Amino acid sequence: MKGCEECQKRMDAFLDEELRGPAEQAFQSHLAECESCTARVNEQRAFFQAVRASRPSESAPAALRERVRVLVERDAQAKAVGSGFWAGFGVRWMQGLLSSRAVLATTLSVTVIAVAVIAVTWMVWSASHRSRQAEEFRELAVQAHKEQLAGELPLQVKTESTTALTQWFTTKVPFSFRLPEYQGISGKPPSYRLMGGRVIRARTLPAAYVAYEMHNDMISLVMTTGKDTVASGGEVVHSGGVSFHSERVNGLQVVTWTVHDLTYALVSDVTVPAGESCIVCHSGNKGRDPLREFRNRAPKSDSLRGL
Amino acid sequence: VKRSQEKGPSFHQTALDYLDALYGYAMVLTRDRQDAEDLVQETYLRALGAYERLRPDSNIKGWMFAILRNLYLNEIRSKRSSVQAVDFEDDTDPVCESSMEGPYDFCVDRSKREDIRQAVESLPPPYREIIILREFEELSYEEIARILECPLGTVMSRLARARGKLKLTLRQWDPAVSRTSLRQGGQA
Repeated sequence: MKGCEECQKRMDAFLDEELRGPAEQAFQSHLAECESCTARVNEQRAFFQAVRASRPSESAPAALRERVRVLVERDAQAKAVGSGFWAGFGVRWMQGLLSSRAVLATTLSVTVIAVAVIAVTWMVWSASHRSRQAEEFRELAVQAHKEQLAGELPLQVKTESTTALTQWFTTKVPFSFRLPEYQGISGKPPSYRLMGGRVIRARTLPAAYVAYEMHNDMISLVMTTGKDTVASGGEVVHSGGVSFHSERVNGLQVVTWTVHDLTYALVSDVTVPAGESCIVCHSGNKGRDPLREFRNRAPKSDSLRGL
Repeated sequence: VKRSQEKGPSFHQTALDYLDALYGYAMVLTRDRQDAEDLVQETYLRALGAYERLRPDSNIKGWMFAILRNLYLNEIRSKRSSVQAVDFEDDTDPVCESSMEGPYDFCVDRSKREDIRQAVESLPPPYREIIILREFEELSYEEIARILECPLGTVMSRLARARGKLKLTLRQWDPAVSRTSLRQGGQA
C-alpha cells in the first residue's frame, strides 16, 4: 500500500469488509505502522456503528404482515400439491384480493365482471328462452287451428263484428285485446270474414283465439301478451316497421309477429313464400280466390293443403 | 442470507424475515405508507412467482430488494412522473466531496439516534437509498450494485459521498460534537 493516501481511499471498503486477500493484508500492515490512519479508521468505524445503531425500528404494519403471511402460506400450500400454474394464478388472485389499495379496484372489477357474466348469461338464456316460447306459441296456434278445423274447439262468441269481439274479450284476457288492422289495397274490403273467438290457454295465461273464414278456408289468429312471448324464428319479412316470422309447422303456414305488446300467430294451410304471406289477406277482392295465384307458384313440396 | 439447496420450503420459511426491511426500504423510496405497503406486497407476489428459478446460492434478501426497487422504478416510469423522489443520476456533490477531507468530529449517544435518522431522511434520494442498503440492511457492495443495477465502483463512490453528506449534515446540526465522544465508542 502506498501510504496514508491509499489507506484513506480504502478505508470504507475495509470497514465494510469488502477488502479481500492481499489488499486487506496490506491495509492491515499499514495500520500497524500508522497511528494517524488507525485513528481515522477508528473514527470512521465509530461513525458507521453510530449510523447502524440508528436504524429505524419501524416495523411493517400488522395488516400488511398478515396479507403477506397469507400470500406466502397459500403459495406454500399450492406448491405442496404441485399445481404450479394454478398456484401462481391463485397467488396473483389472492394478491389482487388482499392488496390494501387494490381492494376497491378489485371489488369494482369483480362486480363488473360478475355483471358482465350475468348479463351475457342472461342474454343467452333470454334468447334461448324467447326462441323456445315463440316455438311453443306457434305450436299452440297450430294445435288450436287443428282443433278448430276438427270441431273440437267451439267458438265461445260468434260475431262478424270486430267491435263486438273486442268488447267480449275485454274481460276474458289479461291484456288489451286488439285485432290486427286491415290494410287492404285502394280501400277494397278484406277478403276474409270474422267468425268469432274464444279463450284458450297459452302456457299458464289466457290467450285469445279468433277464427276467420276466407273462401271456405279457415284461418286462425291466436293472440297473447308480448311481455311473455315475442315472435322469433322462421323466415323474417319486414313490413311497416313490424317483423313477420313465417314458418311451416306440421304442414301449416304460421306467421307470427309482435306489435304493441301483443304477439300474434296467424295459422292457415296456405303455402306461399314468406314474403307473400300478407298478400293472402291484404290483397284479395271480395268474391275472388286470392290464393289461386299462389297455387301455381308454390313448390310441389309446399303445395297447398285443402285447396 | 444464502439460499439452501432445498427450494420452496426454505423460501416460504424465511420470506417473512425480510418484511420489515423491505417495508423500510419501500418507505425510503415512496415516502408514503400506502404506496410502501402495496409495493412490498407486489414484491412478495413477484418473488413467490419466481423464487423457484433462483440459484441455490442466491441472496434472497438482496434479490427481493432488487425486485422491490424495479417495481418502484417501473411504477414511476409508468406514471411518467418527473422522478422527483429518486434522482438516480445524482452522483456528484461537491459539498460531499469536501466533507470527505480529514477526520470528523462526531458524537453519538441515544439522543443522537433520532438526529441521525433525520439526517438520513434529509439526504438526497440516491444517497438516502444507498445508506439504507448498506448501513441499515448491511448488504454487500455487490448486492447493492445488483439492486441498483450499477457498477461496483459507482456503489463505492456513491456510498462515500452519501456518508460524507450525512456527516456534514450532522455536523451542521450540532457543531459541538466532539471527537472524544466518538472515540469512546459512539454506540448508544
